[in-house]
Amino acid sequence: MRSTEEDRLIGAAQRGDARAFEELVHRYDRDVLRLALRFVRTEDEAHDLYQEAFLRMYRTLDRFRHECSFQTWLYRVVTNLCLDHLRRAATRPGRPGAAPEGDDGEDPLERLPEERPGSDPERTLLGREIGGRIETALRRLAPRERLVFEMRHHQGLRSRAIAEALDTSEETVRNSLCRAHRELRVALEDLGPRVVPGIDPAQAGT
Amino acid sequence: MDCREAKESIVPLLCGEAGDADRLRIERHLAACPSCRIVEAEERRLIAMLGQRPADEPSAGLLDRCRQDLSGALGAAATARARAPFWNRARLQPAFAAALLLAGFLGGGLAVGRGLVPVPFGPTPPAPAPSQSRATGADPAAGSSLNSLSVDPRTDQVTVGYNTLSRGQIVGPVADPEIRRLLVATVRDSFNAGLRLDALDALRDQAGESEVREALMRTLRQDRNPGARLKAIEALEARAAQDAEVRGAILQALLRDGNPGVRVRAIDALAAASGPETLPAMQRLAREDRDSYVRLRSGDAAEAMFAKEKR
Repeated sequence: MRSTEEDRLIGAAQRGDARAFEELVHRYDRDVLRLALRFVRTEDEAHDLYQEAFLRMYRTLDRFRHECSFQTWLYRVVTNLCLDHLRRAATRPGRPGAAPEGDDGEDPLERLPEERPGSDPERTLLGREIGGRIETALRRLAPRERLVFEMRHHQGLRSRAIAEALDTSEETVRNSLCRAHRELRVALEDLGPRVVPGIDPAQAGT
Repeated sequence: MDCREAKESIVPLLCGEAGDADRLRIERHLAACPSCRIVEAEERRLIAMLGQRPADEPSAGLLDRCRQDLSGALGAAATARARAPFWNRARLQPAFAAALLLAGFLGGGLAVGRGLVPVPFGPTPPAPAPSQSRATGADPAAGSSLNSLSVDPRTDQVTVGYNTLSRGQIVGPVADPEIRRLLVATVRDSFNAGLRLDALDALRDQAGESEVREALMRTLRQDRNPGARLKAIEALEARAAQDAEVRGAILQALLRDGNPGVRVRAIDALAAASGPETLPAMQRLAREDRDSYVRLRSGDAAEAMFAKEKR
């Protein structure tokens, strides 16, 4: 278990040991960046969100009372920042959050990683096309639904953990997730193999 | 179960979040309801597509930049922390170090012979608590931290200035437990890279002591100054052959450290220690490291080790 060691680090950080705090940060910061990168447009923006999240935590560390796990607390801070970012993006003139395709002048494909040598080019191409379409569809979701969706599918968090981080009920999380799925299903209808009633493509071996 | 409830339950089911009882109820409904089966099939298709989404991990460059900038900001935040106790704030201020260095010269005449000679700069310091815990950093009980350091090469005497509730200075050999404790605390906690480097130098031959070894391994894992990590390897090297934990720490550096110089130094240290786990790591590095010199050196080391094993 990491919790005792983690509690020790938290205690030291609360007494002002910046290095202990950094050690804590290094346990989770990759996750934070990965999540941030789902919502911002550039690495610089992800960098700023990272700094803001951890500095905010450092400043308020003495208020942390172990009522939830450190990770949950971290996610609370980070998801709030992500939501702020999405809402700001939605109200910014010329950069609507629910951007219609191509409207913001950025091709969603451009943000996807370059194909790596040795990977199957056809699969990569398909992945890039699908990735781009998913990206566009996700931008049309309400900020909270999008956040729930990414926390579930990109971070692999379970509904309970998401609910704790967003300070809401598991049922609300499940409902948001269902809505997000429904909208994505509709948006991506034309992609991939056709669904024939009665035949489950997962079992048909596609 | 009706269709509305079933449609709401399909996503949790496919995400592996439905309980056994729910699962049975949904499956029973699906078996009897073609329209919900279509939704289920489309959901499976969507989830399969999500699986093909490129997993964009943050680049190592971005992660490094974020960590470094945070580190700098934390240093600044610590200076500004009005609540911070004296010994926390003082070690951030070079002026203190300079003042104490001066005190060191003035007090030099007292530093004769062996043992601790408290200099009448302030009251005798309370003995620092043993550094049994790595996280005691700014704990006032263990709060002594060094703020100046000099080694006399002729006599091998170390003069250290420190902060506790009072300022003071002690002189003695590195092997003295109290001096060693101060040096270890410095390596661990000082924000001043120059002091950390000096303390690492002074501890160079002390890796036989477990508290020193622990501090060195921690430095190797976490210090953001590559020079400090390099010195840590150098001090640990002598223990690598007999201590698997030390080899593990150096191996981690070999595979993860961002600095090619540190990685090359780790190759040398491990090749000399030739632990059983080293060869595969060297071979991997020889294939994959992004630095061509590291690839070359690890390839050489792997070859030499391989030849030795065959014999």
